Amino acid sequence: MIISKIETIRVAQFPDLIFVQVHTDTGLTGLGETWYAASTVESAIHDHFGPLLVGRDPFEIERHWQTMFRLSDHAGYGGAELRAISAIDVALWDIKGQSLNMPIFEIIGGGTRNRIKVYNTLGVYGEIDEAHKVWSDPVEVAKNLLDQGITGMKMSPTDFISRESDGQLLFQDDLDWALRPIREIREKLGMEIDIANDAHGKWNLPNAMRIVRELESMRLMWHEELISPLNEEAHQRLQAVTSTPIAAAERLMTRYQHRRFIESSAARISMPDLTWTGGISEVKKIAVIASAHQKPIAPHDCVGPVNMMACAHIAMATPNVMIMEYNRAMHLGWYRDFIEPDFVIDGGFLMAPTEPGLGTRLKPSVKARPDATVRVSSGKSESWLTSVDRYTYPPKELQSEFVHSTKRRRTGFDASYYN
Amino acid sequence: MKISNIETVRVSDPADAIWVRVHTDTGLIGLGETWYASRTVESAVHDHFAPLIVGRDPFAIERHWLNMFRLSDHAGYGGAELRAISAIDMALWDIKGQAAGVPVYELLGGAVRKKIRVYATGGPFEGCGDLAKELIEDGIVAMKIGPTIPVATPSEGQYLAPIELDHVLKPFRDIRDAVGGDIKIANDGHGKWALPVAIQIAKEMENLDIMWQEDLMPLLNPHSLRQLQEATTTPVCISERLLTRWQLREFIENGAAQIVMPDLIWTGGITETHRIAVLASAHQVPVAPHDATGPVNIFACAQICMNSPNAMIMEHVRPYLYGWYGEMVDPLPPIENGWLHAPENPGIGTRLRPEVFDRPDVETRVTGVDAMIPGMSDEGWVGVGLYDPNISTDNFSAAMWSDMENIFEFRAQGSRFDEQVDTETDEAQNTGDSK
Repeated sequence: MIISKIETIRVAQFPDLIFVQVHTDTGLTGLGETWYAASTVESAIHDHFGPLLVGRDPFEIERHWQTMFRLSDHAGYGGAELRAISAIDVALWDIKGQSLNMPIFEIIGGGTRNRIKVYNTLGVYGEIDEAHKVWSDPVEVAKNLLDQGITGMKMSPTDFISRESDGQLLFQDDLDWALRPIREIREKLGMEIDIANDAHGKWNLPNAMRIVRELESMRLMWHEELISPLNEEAHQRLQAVTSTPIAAAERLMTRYQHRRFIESSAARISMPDLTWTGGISEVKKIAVIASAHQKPIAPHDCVGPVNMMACAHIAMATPNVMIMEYNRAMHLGWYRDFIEPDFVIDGGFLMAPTEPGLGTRLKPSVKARPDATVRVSSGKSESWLTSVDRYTYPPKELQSEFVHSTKRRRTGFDASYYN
Repeated sequence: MKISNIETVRVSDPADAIWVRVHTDTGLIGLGETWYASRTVESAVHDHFAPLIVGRDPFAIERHWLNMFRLSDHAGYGGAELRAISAIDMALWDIKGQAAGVPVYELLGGAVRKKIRVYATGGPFEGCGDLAKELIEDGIVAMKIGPTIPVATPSEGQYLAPIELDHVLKPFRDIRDAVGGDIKIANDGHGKWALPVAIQIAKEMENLDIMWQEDLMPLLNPHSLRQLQEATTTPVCISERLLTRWQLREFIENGAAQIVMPDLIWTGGITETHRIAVLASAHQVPVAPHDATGPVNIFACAQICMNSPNAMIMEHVRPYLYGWYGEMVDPLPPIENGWLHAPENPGIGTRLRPEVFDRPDVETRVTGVDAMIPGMSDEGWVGVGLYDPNISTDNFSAAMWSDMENIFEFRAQGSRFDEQVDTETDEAQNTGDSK
């Protein structure tokens, strides 16, 4: 089987959202997705990575991941390129799963469970305004979730009050005001619902310490990004002042950044974003490293429906998955406009996908939308990684002399990594 | 698909080898293997783990691994039980690969390469130079010898006289005299030496361009091994004796292991070796899988090597490969001209030869579905009833503990679970299951 072309689809309605479809000569198509700066990701997919993939075997996922990663890491890995890699990786796993007639979780190790608990991140979309309503009637919001079997929620009560000083100065009366919803839920509902606190990296270290101390008695599920995960030692200091777990959040890219937070006491929970950090391949690896330290991962969402499906496969096959993020507002609001079948949330659980591969497809109607931008590329190139014309290499005659001068080189040198 | 029975196969020679065949109701058979104390492994496979596996879905490898590991780790993981787990794990991957119609490396993420260099282990004290020439002639560009091993015995590895040190350097010098730098040479110490002697050996060998120093010391203290690595420019290679990612972790993270050498059939099978390779990759160190133990192991390691970007080179022992390996399996590991090639058959890539079962010294043992532990939830211990918001506290704890109690009860009664188990109670206990 050969990759024949690569297609991206984005819509003006969600300028950060982009889907990738990897097409093969057998007619199988794999679906991937990422979120953020979609037009830049589009360029990375077609101009940067596509030519490395077209004409090649879609089963060699590990090799493609390495090739793409190294190409991008030539100038420092991360950003839009890593999101492009993540989306392509998911699409390749989708192809393999469909081709082998297995859900992806069966390929990557098999089920350890057939459903994973979700928590709801409060959002606002269409009919749902729970992220607003939590300020006026937090108990009602919590009760509504509990009625649906969802026993955990995540909110960001301190984002707003960080505005005045950009997180540098924290007034106690501001903090008391911001924490009111959490305190009210604990007063009225006790410990019935689990609450996570996300601050999107708004605070400096001393203010973050003050916030975690203030919330100590609330027995929160975790604190997430009270400070940005830019400095692992700062994270260690924050974790040291609280018994509540600190989560190392979605901005950490690949096992190489997650590693230090896992190996040290900087975080007790890792929250990789599958569509940012390197796809199914890389999140599986991050989970392995966390498992060696007896720590869980709690995959991130709030980015798109394909991510939920991909994370479901990770969760089914990975013992140390704690819980899965779920954004009810986005799911019920717009996720279902894009994929079919939908992922299944039942009684507070994300259920195991049942179809081969990823388990969902992009709706045909998406490409027909008037605001859709579709780009297809089928150009292929010899990867620069295998080119014999690289400027650091000796001239071709000398290369030939070198290769033919010993038996080892004659029989082995051409079998270099990327032939 | 369900696992219908688990079979073990042993022969008198080699007495340490044991094969596990996991049979399914579809007729597919998965093959695994391990080496060392095979009777004890046999007991672990049948008495300990088979009841967790028979009657269940062979695809749920990650779950089975965890169930078996937790059962054994109740009293400290390792040893024969972990070897049994390793063999069963391989057999389950073999089944899955065959069912999918692809070699196992495709399931691990696909190929990054289609062949990997091998090195040859073993050599005489006299004549290593000739051996090196012969290997190079056969396309093999690296070898491993262990001349310090026998001289460690008199002092229990505490002392090495200068004259003895000079003596053990002779084979290395012979090789360098014979072929110069055309072959890489590794030194294996089988964990015999105390730290100061290990440092002395490593330093003395530095000018001989050693590929790695392997197990010069017992692998008991990561801090000591790091001191060895800090004292020498030669990479320290660690070690087939370290079991699972949890033991290897410290040696990788503290810089003691510049080369990681898991033994797949000791450390937890394909599942765990793949995880160890991932862990090593995060520290930018290579893996060089161990083999001196059996033909199925080489096939399993080939699957890891084809998939792992940080695979360095694969071990093989030529007298075994061209000797008893061929009596046991067909096909043999695809090693030619110094390369181990990607296995082509679906699954692990080889089968036990039918003649093995006709040997007069063959001993087989089978555990069938009648050993399946009744009442144990389908989910095993992973995710049992946890998280169910509708479950009462009483039921919650019952669901959590029912599986363990079933297993303890099973074990208390010997090899057969009492048929009079109250199934109604069982169902009530398991209401928390995620079905």
